[in-house]
Amino acid sequence: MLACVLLPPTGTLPSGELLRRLFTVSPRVELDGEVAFLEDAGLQRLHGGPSGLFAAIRRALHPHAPRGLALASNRWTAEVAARYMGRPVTVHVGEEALFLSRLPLTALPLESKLALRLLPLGLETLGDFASLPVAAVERRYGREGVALHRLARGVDPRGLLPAREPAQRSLARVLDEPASQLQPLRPALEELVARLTGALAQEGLGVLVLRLIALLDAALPDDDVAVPEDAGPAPRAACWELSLPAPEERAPLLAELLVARIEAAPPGRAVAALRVAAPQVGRLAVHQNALFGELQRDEARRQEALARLASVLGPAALPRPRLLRDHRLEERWTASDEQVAPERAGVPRAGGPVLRVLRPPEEVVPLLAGGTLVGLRRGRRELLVARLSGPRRLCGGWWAQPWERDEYEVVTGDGSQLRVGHDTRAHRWLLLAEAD
Amino acid sequence: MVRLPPTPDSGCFSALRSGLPPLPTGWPALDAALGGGWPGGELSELSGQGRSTLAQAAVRMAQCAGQPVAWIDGPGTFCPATANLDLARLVLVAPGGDDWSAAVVRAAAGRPARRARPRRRALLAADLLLRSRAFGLLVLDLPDERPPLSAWFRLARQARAAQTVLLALTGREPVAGSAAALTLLGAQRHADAPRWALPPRPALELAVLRRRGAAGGGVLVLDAAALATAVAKGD
Repeated sequence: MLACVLLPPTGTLPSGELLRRLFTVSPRVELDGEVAFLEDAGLQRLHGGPSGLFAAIRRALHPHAPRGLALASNRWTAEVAARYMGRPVTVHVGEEALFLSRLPLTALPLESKLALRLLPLGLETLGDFASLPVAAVERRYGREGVALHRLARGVDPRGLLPAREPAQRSLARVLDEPASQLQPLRPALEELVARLTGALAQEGLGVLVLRLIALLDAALPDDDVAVPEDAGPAPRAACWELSLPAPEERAPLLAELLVARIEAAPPGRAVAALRVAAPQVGRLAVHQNALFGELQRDEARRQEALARLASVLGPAALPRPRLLRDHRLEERWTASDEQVAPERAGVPRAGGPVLRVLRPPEEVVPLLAGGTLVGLRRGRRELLVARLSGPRRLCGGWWAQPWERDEYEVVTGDGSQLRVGHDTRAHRWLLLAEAD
Repeated sequence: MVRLPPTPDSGCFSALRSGLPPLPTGWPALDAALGGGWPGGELSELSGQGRSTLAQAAVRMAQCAGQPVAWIDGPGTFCPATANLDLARLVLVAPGGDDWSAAVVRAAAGRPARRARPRRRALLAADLLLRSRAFGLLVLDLPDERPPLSAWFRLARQARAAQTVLLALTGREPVAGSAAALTLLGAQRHADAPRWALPPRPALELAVLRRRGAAGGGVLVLDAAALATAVAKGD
């Protein structure tokens, strides 16, 4: 179930603050303009049913009040219920159509042209519209009408796009005992760096500048575990900084670089607490072959992969196309085992439709009416011809194996464009290609 | 066209994990709708009609950008003669093998063509080529079958590691589920004309079923004839 919240008027709460408050109610929240959606799956025991959930939302938004609240099985129903009902409402699963049937037709997201066609028909409520037969709606209003009809029946397949909690840019940890050597310091440092880079990587970010601040032992007040955000000039803390040429997410690498910096400039006293901060971050790129660089396409690796593929699937799995001159589509190219020079490989014909050519052609059963092709039966599917062009007579091979064929361009009822041939010698109908 | 209630666009593909630049599709309108083109280092699924047109345009764009390209022809329907691609720079993989002559013999005998488990071999080929990390674009054309979801997730993960744009051409319905960062469903739309007239190039109507990091929904109509002109000029 999804809860829809009509948010307080714009400007009363910034979106970051809204998200932070709503995350206290549910871990899956989506902000959509003036509306927020919350998923309540698994939260029944926490909130105690719909009324408890509504109360939790109100508490989270306090002192501001939501302008509408509703709970339903999908986004559309929940949003309409929140907008049109003056009180919090729950639409149970299976009751969407019944609930929506009383609401006015203007609740639908109607485009003006379609609205002009629907409203004069005397349809006043969503129930009136939902009671129309789907086939009739599709015939008269097309796909738009069908989509609206589904909404009127309370069917909306769109799910929730949950927002992410903003990643922390700074993490701190107080050590159990002050560390005067590097070895006991290392696990805490690695853990902090791993947590920080992991949180950033979830947002697709990597570290550009990484700062390590160590609070030194003598400077740590007894009951104060707070670590300063910025080391500044204070002598009780030590600071190291890494500047990276590209956003980086690999925690072990970053921890190793920080350790190297500490070794180069030791703090001089035992370390009592650590803070790792990423003041500058950048969009993450994937690095594979180099320490800081883009992946290079390696010709040797490509050849090795193709050789391996040929050994696994057989050399015939890597055909080198060589174009031929032939009227028949299926004979216009052949697979050559040899490496074909580009000038000998042939140049494809430009500008034509992209075809899927069946090699060999598939035999189909024609449906004829008065000698005219009105349909095709392909396996169990029956395709009705909506448009037909042809025939175009092709023949050849009289010197060896004569062949003769009438070719048609066919558009079927589902919009597919097919090329169909009638082998006049063998009296067979063949499906040659499909425009795709 | 239906306008569904607005949903937030949270940076679209810029929020994807790979963070790689997208590969242009060839249609400015589609590029704009997808945040620059096919998401880099991600699996995109194209199903329905017009998927070959989209994939071949992507191959052309990748070839113009100097990226190595492979096309795995699972159903065995790829036609180099009408493809309008630089064949010398295209690695064509036929997982069904070169059984053309055997298929002709079987067809002449009235028996259906037989291919040796093309789906499994196609997935195997895709896996192997992605692991080489040597291709900028990989087109995986699958026969009308439904591979397991685990295979899709494996391929998506490898595409991300290899920084390869992986375009999967599936049948009438999408099958890759949430492994795909982008799922498009195409339908050809023919202009009104007499029943006997030669069918003109249809427009391509694309429905965005899934976009990782942004809301799905929405329909885009593309002019395939304009694309053919643009691609032929090498734009």
